[in-house]
Amino acid sequence: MSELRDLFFQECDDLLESLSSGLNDLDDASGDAETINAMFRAVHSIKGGAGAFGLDALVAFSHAFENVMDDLRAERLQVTADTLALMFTAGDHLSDLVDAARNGTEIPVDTADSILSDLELLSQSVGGSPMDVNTPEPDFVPLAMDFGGPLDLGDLPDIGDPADPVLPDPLDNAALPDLPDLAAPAAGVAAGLPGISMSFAPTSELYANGHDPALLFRALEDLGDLTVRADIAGLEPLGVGDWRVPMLVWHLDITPDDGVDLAAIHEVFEFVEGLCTLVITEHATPNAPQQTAPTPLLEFAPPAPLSSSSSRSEPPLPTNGALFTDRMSSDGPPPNDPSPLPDTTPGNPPHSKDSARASTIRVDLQRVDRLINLVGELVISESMLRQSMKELPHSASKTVEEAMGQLKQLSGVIQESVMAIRAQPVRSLFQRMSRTVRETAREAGKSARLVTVGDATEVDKTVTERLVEPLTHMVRNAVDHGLETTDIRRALGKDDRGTITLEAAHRSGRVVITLRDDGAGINRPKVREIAEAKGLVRPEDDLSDSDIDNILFRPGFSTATKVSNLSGRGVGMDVVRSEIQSLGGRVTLHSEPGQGTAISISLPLTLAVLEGMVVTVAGESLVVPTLALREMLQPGQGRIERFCDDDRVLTMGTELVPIVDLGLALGYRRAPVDLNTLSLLLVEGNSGRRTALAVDELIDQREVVIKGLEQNYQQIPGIAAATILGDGQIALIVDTDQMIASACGGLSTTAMEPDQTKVIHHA
Amino acid sequence: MPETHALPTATRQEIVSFAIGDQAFCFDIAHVLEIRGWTRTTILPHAPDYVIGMMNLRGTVLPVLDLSLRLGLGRTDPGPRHVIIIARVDDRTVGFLVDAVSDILMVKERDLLPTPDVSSTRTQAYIRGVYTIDETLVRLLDVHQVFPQAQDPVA
Repeated sequence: MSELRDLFFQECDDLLESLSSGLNDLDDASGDAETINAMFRAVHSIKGGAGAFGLDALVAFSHAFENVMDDLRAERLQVTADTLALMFTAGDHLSDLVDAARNGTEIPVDTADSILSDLELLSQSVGGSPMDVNTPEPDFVPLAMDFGGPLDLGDLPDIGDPADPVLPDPLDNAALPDLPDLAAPAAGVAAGLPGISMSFAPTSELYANGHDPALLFRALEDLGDLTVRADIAGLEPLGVGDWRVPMLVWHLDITPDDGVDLAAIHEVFEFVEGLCTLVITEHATPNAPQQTAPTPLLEFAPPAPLSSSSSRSEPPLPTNGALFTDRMSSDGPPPNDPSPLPDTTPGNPPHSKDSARASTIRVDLQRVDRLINLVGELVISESMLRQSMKELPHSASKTVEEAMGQLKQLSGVIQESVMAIRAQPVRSLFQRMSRTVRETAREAGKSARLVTVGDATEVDKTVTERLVEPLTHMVRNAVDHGLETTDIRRALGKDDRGTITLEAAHRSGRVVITLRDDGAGINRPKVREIAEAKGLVRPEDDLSDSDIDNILFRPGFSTATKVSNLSGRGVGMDVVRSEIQSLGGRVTLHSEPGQGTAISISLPLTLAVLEGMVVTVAGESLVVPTLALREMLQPGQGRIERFCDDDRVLTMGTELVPIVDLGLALGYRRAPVDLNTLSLLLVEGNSGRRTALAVDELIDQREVVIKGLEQNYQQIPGIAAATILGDGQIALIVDTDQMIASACGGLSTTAMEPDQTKVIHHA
Repeated sequence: MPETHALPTATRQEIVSFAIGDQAFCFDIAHVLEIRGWTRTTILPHAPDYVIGMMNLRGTVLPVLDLSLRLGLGRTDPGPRHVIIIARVDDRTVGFLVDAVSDILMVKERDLLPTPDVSSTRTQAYIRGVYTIDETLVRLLDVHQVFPQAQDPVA
C-alpha cells in the first residue's frame, strides 16, 4: 500500500513538473493546444490518483483546476494574463496540496477556497457545457480501490463490503441454471427500462490495477435504480479457457435519480476508463421503441456482442439514444466528449506523446549507487592489474599491452556513463525557482519573471537536491534586493517587469549556474557604509569593487534597511556561500551599477568524485581536496616562526599562517618533526581563514571516488571521508575546514568535533 | 542426545568458532559475510586502539577490529597467517581480526552455559555464555557489544 502511495507521489512530482513547464510555455507564448492538453492530462492524472487514495481535498481542487483547463482546451476561455496568473497560483497550490497529502499535514482551507472559487468563477463565467463544467463539486464520486490493506478513506461514500450478497458475484451467476440462448448473437442491448443502459466488460488490467466491478456497481447504485446482469456467454468451461482473461460481461440498466446526469455515471467509471470496454446507451424517452423487448427474461437478456474483453469492435447498437463509446485513446479525448478521458490511470505510467518521458525508467537510487561502487572497483582493479603487469619480467607481449590499453579505456568510459545515470537535468530545480520568483515578487510588490536558459543541463541528482535552498535564497535576494520597484524601473526607462535569468551550462568539467537580474546592481557606497558601520571593514581600507561585492558574503551582513519578510535577516549570502562550498562549489559575483547583478555558482558534476592532492604523512596516504588548496611550498621554502609550545606559524608577507602538522594532528606520530623538512600546503576554508598543512611528501593530484566512513564506522574528527587509491589501499580525505578550525583553537579533539558543515556528506 | 522439540530452548543455532590466542570463541554464523586473509589496513586517527584501521573490501570501506585487544587478551601483531571475519552487525559491516577460524558447528541454545561469575566487566559485557564442545570451552561473543559504540571515548 505505501509503495503504491509512494509511486503516486513520485508520479505527482513528474506531473506537477509537466504542469509547471506547460504554464511556463503559455507564459512566454510558446504554448499551443498540445501544451494545454498535456497540462490537462497532468492535473487529471493527479485527480485520478488522489481519488484512489481518498485524498478529497486534492481531488476537489484538481477537479476545479481541470475544468478551467478543459475550457481553455475547448477554447471557451482564452489565455489571458489574468487567467495565467490564476493558473500559476492554482499550480502552486496544487503542489502544496500534494505535499500536504504526502506528509499528512493540513493546509489552511481558506486559501484553497479562495483559489477554488476563483477557478470555479472562471469556468462558470464561460457557461460551458452543462455536462461537465458545471458539475457541482460534491457530485464527484471518488472511488475506493481495494488494495487489501488498511486504508483511511476519509469521507468517502460507504461502499460496503465488496462481498455484499446484493451484488452479483461472478461465480454465483455462473452457477445459475437454465440460461437460454446465452450465446445467441444479440440484436442489441436489451434494455427495456427507461434511462441508461451500460455494457461493461473489464479487461484483466482492470483487476490487476486493484479495481473491483462490485464497487463500481455499488457506486452506480447510489445514483439510481440499478439492475445488474452478468453475461456469462464468454465463459469457458473450467480447465479449458485461459483463466487469466476475464470472461464476464455485465449489463447494467439504471434509472437515474433526479439530478443525476450522464456525466455522473461517467464519473463512476472514470478511473477504469481504458481498462474496460464500456458502452453507455442513453434512452431518450422511456417510451422509445425497444426492438429487443420481446424477451421476457430481462434478467438474462441476450448479451451485447461483447463476449470477451477482446471484443473491441464497434458494437452494433440500437441508436435510439445518445451513444458514447469510451475507449482508451492515446491521441486525446474527442473534442466534444462530455467527460474528459484520463490519459493515465493510477498505477499506469503515463504514456503520452511526451516522448522524453516515455523513454525513461525509474530506478532505485541505491542500485545506481551500487553500480557506481562496482565500476569504481573495476577501475581500481584495472590499475592494480596494470601495476602487477609492470612487475612481471619484460616478457609481457604486445597484445597484452594492447588489451590492457583497451581495458583501461573501456573502464573509463563505463565509469563516465554510470556517473551520467545519476545526472538529472536542472529543469525541475529551475521550475521551483519560477515559483519563488512569483511569490517573492508578489510579496515585495514588484513585477518579475523568470527566464531559464540551458535547463536541460545535467547535474548529479544529489547536487541538484542540495542546490534548492541556496538557490531559493539567491532568487529571493535577486527579486527583493536586486530588482527596483516598478515605479523606479519605469522612471529609468526599463521594462516594468524585472527579469531574473537562470542559466546553466557545462564548462570545463564543471557546471556553472548563473543567476542574473536586470536590477540596479550593487550599491557599493552603501555596502561600504554599512560594512563600516558594522565594523566589517575599516574606513581607511582601500577596497576594490570586487572586494566590496564580496562583503555581501560576509557573515552578519545585510543591506536591507528594513527586515522584510523575504530576506534581510542577515543570514543571507554567507549561508549561501558556505552551502555552495560544502558542495565543492565556488560563488562569484559580478555587478554593474544600473545594469544588474550576476552571481555564478561553479559546481563539480558529481559529489561522488573529488579532485584531490595525494600526500603521505608518516607512511600513510592522505588526500587534501584541491578546492581548498591555495599554494604549495617545498621543504624549506617558507619562513617558519615558533611560538609557545609547538605552535608554529608560516610568515607570508605580513600574514601569519598557523601550521598544522598533519602527522601530529591525526596521531600518526607523537613527536614533532622539523617542519623545514616537510612540504606545506596552504589551504583556505569557508571562513576565509588560512592554514598551512605540513605533510611529508606530495605524491600527485588526481580525481578520487569518495567513500563515506559513517556507513560502517563513524565520523572521525578532521577526516571528511575515505577513498581507494589505485593500489587498492584506502586513503583518508582531510577535512580542511576542521583542520583550519583546529589550528586556531589548538589541537584538542574537542575543537575538531565533527560539525554540521562537513565538506562531504555523501558516500 | 535425544531431541526434545517441545522445549523452546532446543532451538538450534549454527555458529562459527575461531581462535584468539589459545582460547576458542564463536558467534552466530548469520552475522558472517565472508572470511578473508589479512590485508593491510589504513590507520584511523582518533580511533580506539582496538580499531586497527580501515580495509577495502571490493569498494566497501570498513573498519577492522583487533578482537584480542578488544577482549583484553593483548594486541595482535597481524601477519599473513591471521584472518579477518567480515561480519554484518546492526546494519554495519565490520572486520574482526582473529588468529584462525576453526569450525562451523550446530549447537542447541539450551546447551549454552551462563558466563561464569567473574570480576572482569569485559567478560560480563562481551561473553554471552559458554558452549562445551569436545571438552573445549567455546565462548559465545556478543557481537553487538564488541563493536565500537558511538559514545566510546576516542584515543
